[in-house]
Amino acid sequence: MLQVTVEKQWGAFSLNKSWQVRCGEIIGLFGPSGSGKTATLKCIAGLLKPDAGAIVLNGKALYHSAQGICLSPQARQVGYVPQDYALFPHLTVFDNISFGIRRSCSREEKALVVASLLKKAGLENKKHSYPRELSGGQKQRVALLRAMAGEPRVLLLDEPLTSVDLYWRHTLRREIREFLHDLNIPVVLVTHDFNDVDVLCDTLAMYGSPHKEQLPPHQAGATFYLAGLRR
Amino acid sequence: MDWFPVILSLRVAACATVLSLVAGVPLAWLLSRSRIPGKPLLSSLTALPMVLPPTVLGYYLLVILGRQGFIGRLLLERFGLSLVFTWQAAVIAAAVVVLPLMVRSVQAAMDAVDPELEEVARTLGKREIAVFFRITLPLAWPGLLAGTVLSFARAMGEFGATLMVAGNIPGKTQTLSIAIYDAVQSGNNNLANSLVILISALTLAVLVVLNKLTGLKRW
Repeated sequence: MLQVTVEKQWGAFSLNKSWQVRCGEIIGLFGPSGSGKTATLKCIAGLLKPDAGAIVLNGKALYHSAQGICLSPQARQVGYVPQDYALFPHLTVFDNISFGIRRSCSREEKALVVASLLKKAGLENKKHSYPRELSGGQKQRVALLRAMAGEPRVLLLDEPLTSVDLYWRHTLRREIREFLHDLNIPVVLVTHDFNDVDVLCDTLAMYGSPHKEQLPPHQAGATFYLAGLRR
Repeated sequence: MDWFPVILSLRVAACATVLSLVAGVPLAWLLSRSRIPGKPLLSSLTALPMVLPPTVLGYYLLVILGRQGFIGRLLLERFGLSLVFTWQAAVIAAAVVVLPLMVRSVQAAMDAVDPELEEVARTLGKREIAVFFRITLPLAWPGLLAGTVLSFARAMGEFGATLMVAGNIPGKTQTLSIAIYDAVQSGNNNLANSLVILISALTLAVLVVLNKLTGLKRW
């Protein structure tokens, strides 16, 4: 279970959100750009410090303003996949994924971990490729595998499908859904795509709207419909 | 022809380049990545040797390294060393002169590294030192290489500050550019000509290598 309450103010912009997501579930942070979705992810990852609030993962505080707790990003054990994937351009697919392994283990063990992850994603033949040689969908999968290699306790995905062309997006969406549900950790997914919400998300937090609370997707759908936003 | 000035210049340039790397890379990182107070001042200070007259730089170095200077006296009393008018003083002078080139070059390369890559590395549990050596530095590598080559080329030709602190002692501190000055002063035009051609060719070769390395056509 991941419980998030964040308050942050910068310039004319203010973020004040509260939501939670259970293990094995996917929450969608849905809203227009500039509504603080990515900022929320960065707060959970420890890359940005909220002004106030609490971020509690499985009963353990990653951040708690009242208790004065703010763990470093290194100590949080989150899997963070930014919007453009941020693959390390100077490392091969193999080294990118291997970079994510936290446990100190031998070269052989690391190779085994990476090999099994690559096999799962059907990317064994791309092992020695560099990120610039990959398609959007392949990059996305490598970024996900790199995050997985760190055995994260929560997974943060920032618009994971925007760099994938429309043709593949539909297939990938189903794949990701199955993959994520198998992990049995909370997954936070930033999106502004209705289809992502329909297919991927179990629950939804609305950004940039008057809705303070989170909603189940079908209710959110009704809200879009009423607002004349749907498709 | 006496090859001593050529060999000395190469040695001084190599040592000065290493010294400016050791000081310049951390400085470039501080300027590019840290949030220390007084960054504009630090930035200006590192650029100063590029615009100050070499004689002024040399004078500062004399004041610091000389027998009466803070570091000079310490070295003399503790270790019995005197730096002024040695080839090591020429190394220090050249290192100070090329430091701005090194810092600018490395800092520009580090500024071009996407901070998001470093952020992801941190979320993957890597400490700052690992982030620097495995992400920032390898990605800034072309700038580091360019800075190194450029600094070497500039150090080869260093004259003013070197003359002030190392003097003009043939066979001891007389570098290539000082030997040229000396030859012209004493009317030995033949020697001056061959030394000038030599240093021009050497510097040109270095810049050709630099162009190859960076793919830039600026020089």
